[in-house]
Amino acid sequence: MSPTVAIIQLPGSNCERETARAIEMAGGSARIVRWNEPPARLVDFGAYVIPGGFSYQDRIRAGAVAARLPVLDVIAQRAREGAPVLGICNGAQVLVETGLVPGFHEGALEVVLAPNRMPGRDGYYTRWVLLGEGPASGRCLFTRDLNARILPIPMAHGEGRFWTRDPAVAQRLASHVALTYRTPAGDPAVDFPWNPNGSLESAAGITNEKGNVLALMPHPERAVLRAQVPDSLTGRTEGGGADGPPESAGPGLLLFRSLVEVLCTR
Amino acid sequence: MIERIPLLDADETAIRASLVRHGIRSEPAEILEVARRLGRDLTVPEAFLIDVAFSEHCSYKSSRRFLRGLLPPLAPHVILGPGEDAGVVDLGPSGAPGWALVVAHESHNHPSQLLPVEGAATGIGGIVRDVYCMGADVIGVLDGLCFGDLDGPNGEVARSVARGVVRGIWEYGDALGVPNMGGDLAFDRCYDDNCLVNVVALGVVPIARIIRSRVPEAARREPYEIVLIGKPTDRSGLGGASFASKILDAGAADSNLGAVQIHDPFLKRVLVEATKAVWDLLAAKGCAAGFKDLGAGGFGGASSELVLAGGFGAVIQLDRLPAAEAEPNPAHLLVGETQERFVWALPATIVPDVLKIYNEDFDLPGIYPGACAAVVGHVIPETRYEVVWRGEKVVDLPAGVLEESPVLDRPTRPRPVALDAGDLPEPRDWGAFVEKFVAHPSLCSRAHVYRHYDAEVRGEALVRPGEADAGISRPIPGSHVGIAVALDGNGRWCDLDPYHGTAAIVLETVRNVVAVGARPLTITDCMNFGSPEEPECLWEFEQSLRGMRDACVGLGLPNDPAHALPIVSGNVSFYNQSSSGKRIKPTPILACFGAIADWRRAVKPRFARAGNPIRLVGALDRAWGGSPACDLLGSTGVPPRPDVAQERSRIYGVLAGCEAGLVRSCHDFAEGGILMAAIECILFEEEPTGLGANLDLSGVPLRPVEALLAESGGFLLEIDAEREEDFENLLGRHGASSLRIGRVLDAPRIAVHSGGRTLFDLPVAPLAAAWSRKLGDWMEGEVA
Amino acid sequence: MSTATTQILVVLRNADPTALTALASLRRSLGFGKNLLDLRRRVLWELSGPAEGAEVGAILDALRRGGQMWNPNKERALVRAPGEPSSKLGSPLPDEDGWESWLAWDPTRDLDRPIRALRPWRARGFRIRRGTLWSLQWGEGDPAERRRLSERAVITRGAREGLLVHPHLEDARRIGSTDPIPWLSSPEREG
Repeated sequence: MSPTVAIIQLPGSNCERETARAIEMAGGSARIVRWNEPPARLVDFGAYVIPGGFSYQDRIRAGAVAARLPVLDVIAQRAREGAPVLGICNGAQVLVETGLVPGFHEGALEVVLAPNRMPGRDGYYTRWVLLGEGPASGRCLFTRDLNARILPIPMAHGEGRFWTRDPAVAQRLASHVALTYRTPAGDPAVDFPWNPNGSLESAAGITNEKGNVLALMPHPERAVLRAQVPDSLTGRTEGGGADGPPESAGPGLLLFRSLVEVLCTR
Repeated sequence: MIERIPLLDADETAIRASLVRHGIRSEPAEILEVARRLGRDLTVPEAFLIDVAFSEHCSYKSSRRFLRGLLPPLAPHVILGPGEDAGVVDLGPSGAPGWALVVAHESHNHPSQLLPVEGAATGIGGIVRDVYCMGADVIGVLDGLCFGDLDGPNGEVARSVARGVVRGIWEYGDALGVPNMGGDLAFDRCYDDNCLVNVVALGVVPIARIIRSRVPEAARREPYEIVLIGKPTDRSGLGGASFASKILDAGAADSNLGAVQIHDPFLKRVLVEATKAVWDLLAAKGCAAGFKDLGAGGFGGASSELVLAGGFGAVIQLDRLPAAEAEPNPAHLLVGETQERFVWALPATIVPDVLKIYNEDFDLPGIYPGACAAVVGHVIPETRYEVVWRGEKVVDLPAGVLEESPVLDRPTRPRPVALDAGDLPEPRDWGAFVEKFVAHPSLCSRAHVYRHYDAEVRGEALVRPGEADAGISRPIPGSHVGIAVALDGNGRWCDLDPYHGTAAIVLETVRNVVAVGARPLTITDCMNFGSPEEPECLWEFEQSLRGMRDACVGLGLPNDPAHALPIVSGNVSFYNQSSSGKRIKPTPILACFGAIADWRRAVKPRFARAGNPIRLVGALDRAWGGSPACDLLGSTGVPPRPDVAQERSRIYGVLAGCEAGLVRSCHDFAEGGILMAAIECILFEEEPTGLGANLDLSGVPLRPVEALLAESGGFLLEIDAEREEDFENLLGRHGASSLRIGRVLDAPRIAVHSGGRTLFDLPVAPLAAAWSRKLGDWMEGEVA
Repeated sequence: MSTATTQILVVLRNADPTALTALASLRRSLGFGKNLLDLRRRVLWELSGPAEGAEVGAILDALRRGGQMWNPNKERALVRAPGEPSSKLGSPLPDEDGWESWLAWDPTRDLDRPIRALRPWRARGFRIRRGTLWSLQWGEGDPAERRRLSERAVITRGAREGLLVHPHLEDARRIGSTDPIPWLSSPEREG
């Protein structure tokens, strides 16, 4: 039995239950932990997932207020100790606001998750996208088993554009991209809609130097069954296209399986 | 000393002036009647409470005499019909024993016209509360929207309302974490300054954990306390219920100000998560409770209903109500409609544990200043509602006064309905026509709107908006039961003929659920009409109710014609007209909820295999009144006038076909006729199927243009060639039949022939572009 | 041809949940404590164009009707025409006693095109800029101290340093009531 994964329920998180289920489907054990539980209890977990949602209603900036809660101090400390930390969507926004990702300079916030740049629309946007590897896939523990696969995964966010104003940071950022948005032809997606928000380097997920922290905007926990993948994209999943068994593993499960494997071997 | 309103010794003019000064909208006669019954003048808080209770929105005083007689009877699988905050049906017969489906349907029209974002957001906020207060977790929401003509003289306002409403819906629903499962969208000049925002919420709950909106019998044996949870009460939302019950006066911005309600879905999320912990506690301890959400009438409305519905009364300590202001006005505290609040009736023994869950475990005060759970009163056995403020009794009303709101006997007067089926000329240039047709505001892709909505949160969605005729979710742990839901309205049909138009909408929404292979369980409705003080408008309302009832009775349940398809929840929204006197077209908006025993067998409308036959099941009547085709061709006509008995055979025959696995893909057709349905089976947003359709209408007893564009309704089905005969035989056993009208093509084209002539043969790609671009360009105002 | 700028400050009539959350977070999570007495968030628009007064009235009417800038049912718009005193912006003024204000804006956003109501006037040289005015009220400390505290609260430099403005998203500067108009600058778009 592997160490338990803490799913951090911030005020306003709303994906915690399906995220816990995804860990369990991947063979691990998960517990939903409220943001205000005593720090002493929080350190005992093997890994941490900050799920999607709208913590504090995205006030000021998405993830800004939650990132400054005491619970994030504990998570930051555990991340420095090498514990796996995954932030999904709002969780990614929180991690970027703590500076854990990309983490070029301790404590600095050099990258931001900015409002989507989308021609002809603004606000929130939802669609299924295609994710492929990036330069950091191999060293990021969540994506180390990705290889050359393309994963159909849904995104749903209004502030998902990885961005920086510092050209030196932008250049360095490429080496920390663990997952990229791809076009149907397989290339890194630069334009809307296959890059749904205008992220630099087609980045869908950014990791830290050690590869134990991943800030991922799309939602893998929503693609854990083949049946969840839209008919138009099932041809891109493994195991038989549209006629494959509906309850077989979906493309999102890969990331959680990698996490559980890492925990089991520790 | 609390202020009283002089009534018994005052004349009507003076009473009217007093009421207006306080912002009370009731008629003097109604308030005076209460004073006479009590033998004394009313306090200001009492007058506010009665104003709310007697408002159209709360009391249904104009509609009750119709609703009493005209709703269809309930069926055996109904656990709770209309009357409480939501309807409840048993999912046992659908394959999920011990579970129930909870459904609610409401409108938030006037607030959304003035404040599109806040109005729509608090609409979603309110409807989900109706489901949560039954002890059920919300699994989805739907939105039925009617906006004005964006190209018309009021286009800019209509556009601003449309954009704001969509934003309000996503801001609330996405933040709260309730997936959007579908919706309906219409544009018409009649909604220019009175938009419609209808909202539907659905949830599931183990039957043993259903919580009622009334104090339980256990309160006779032990002390029960009234606990208010949520946001502190502020000045927002004053008079919301009576605001909804009057004609909208957009010029009266300042007096409408009280109707501003401030939404906070993030606080609501925390409140709901804490409440789930309370549900678990109640179940563990075996305690009975009453739970109600605060909507119209605020705390006074909800708490009085909570106790009186159970046959109890209450003494409320108004001073203990958490208030946002330092010096609150007691009347405002009592009836203000501050959002994000619920009220519990709990056994006193469990109250400390419940307070701890809200105030400490989930830290409500830390989430929002002043938010908390607080004991504000206790239940008494006498059926009186008393409120104490600073040591003085400011409300002291017996049950009768609040419960017996007037039933008005307003007159109805018939007005003409469309009778002439008219003519539909064939377009001279089919190519140009079809490209304009698919980009008509009634028919174009709605992706621009629904791509703002999170459809996947909770991880239960299987069929999302845009993918089929009904949304499907799998909310019951460990079960393959799927819940299907669709929402439909059509103001144009109902304007031409309220009775038949409404019946046709019932059938359409049921077809939507059947088309995915699910069995209809229940209908909910929102009747959006003009002023009931206009006899012709009230006649439209009555006719619409009759059409709805007759369709539900005639359709019945699958395999059970003796029982009507029940309506377990609904809403009436009157006074949808502007102060210039123009009323909206009669717009009933209906939802159909169904269940599929195994979601893995759901059917979609996307063509699957080249060469497969395409078959048609439907009435094929000359019905195109109010249709996009009429718009484009300059025609008139009648709406569908269905033969419900025949439709029963057809609809449940197709259902049997789906359940037997004989249907490869299925799409219902209504607006846009067969032509639009066939095109939708080919067009899919991102990755088109690569397939097309080759239709031959020679066997159809209508002129080809009529066959393509008639909206009489039915199904377009793709059947695997080797199953065609089995399918037709199965239909026959249900008393229905289908007609082969073509084949799936292995190229992305749509070709239509009839009697040896080719009407058109068009590539799909340009149509797809026009279809998908229209709504975004139009709503964002970017069209050249 | 001279240009003139009209300022429009949009203020919520009811409670502002964003300001409430920001205040709570600065006090509790960022350690400013009870010394931070109050926080306001208002939206500042600046309409610049050829200096013809009557036109501006017509433009403001169109902007109000279009609903994209403010909704009279929930917001008040305080208008300061060219030459009018800063008191037209209502209370608290940016540097009213005890208050410190910072103005933040996104330099990359071209606002004119999406503001449909402005289109008839764009060709004549009218432009719109938008910023967020954050105002913080402090209990103790001399003006220099308050200035320092405000900058620390506003500019986000690290996980526990600053909150309201992220330098990679927005530009920001301290603003005073007597600062020359326009307050929102957009040098790359002039000329």
